[in-house]
Amino acid sequence: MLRKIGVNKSVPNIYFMKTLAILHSTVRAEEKMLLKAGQGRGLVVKLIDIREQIFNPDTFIVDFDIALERSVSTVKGTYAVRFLEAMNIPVVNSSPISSICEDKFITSLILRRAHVQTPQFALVFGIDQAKEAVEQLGGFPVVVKPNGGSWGRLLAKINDMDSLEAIIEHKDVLGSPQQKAIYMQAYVDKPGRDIRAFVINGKAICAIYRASEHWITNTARGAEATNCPITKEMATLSKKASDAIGGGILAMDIFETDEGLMVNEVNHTMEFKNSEKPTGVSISGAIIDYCMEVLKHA
Amino acid sequence: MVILKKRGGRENKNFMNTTCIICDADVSFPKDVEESEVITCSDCKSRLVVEKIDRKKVILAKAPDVEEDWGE
Repeated sequence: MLRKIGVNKSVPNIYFMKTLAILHSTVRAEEKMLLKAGQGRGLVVKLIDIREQIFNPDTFIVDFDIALERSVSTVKGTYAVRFLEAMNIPVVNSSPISSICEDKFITSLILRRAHVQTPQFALVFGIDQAKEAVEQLGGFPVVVKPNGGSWGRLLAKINDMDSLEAIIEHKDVLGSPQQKAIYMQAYVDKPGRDIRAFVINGKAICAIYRASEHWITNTARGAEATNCPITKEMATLSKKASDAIGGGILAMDIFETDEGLMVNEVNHTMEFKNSEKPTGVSISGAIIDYCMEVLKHA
Repeated sequence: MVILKKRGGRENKNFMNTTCIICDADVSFPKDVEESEVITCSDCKSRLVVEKIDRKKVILAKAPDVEEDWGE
């Protein structure tokens, strides 16, 4: 005898009977918050550890409607996204977005092309070019950072020529080929903090100040997070940067300068566990809602 | 990141118990822990990963080291 399956009228239609796959490697607090937010909305949520998958197009079973890429490893995540897109599965964030955001030089180029205020920058492959780039960027100090880095790691604020020579030599001798593409930025004096704006489909939904006495203001490096109201300038800048990158779910690192706000970096697999409480915004919920909007239009 | 706490006092129904694989300390951690989640032993500070949750028993392993491409 068939059982009549009742419709839960409290669950919006776009969530009903839909399955969201959360692609992950190490499960962080953020993945657990997303799991909870998805289940709370009536979604079936699958956690897929991409490290355990065999991405063979002839044998991979797709039993979900949309995927949310949340791998801690950028390389692994990128391959998983590309694979699923080739299998015609929508993924958030898509590969065009992630391919921009995973490389700081490419991000800077895209932002500059769209006339989004961003620090001056250059890319070099050797010490002679690095010395000349310092002049072009307005002199010392300059910042050298890995194109693919995160969590405030391997950042160098270079105050003089001796330090520049040492850092470039270290990268040349010890670094991977990727590390030898040296991304340089003009140093921007910050008022003891920067801003992290959470932008979903072009809209800044909330933001935090990240305050630190150190010039590196990542919360991973100990910066303190407090709520930052979204101003009209921030909303406009966020939308412009998001449009340049292609939308999606983005975390923008923004500097306050005498010339106004400027976008320093854009992250495509945002961490937000320390940001929901000070802002009072369910970032995890907003991400899930966005995934369902993407699915609706896929 | 979840920090394993030393077991002691009354049992809390929201926590599970296990043994740190590095230092053998008796520890407890929240029941909503997920496979692949990284936890830290409060005794020896080792980073451990939840390898498997099998019939309410948690199997731990040493967590993978942070790699160059990890992050946001």
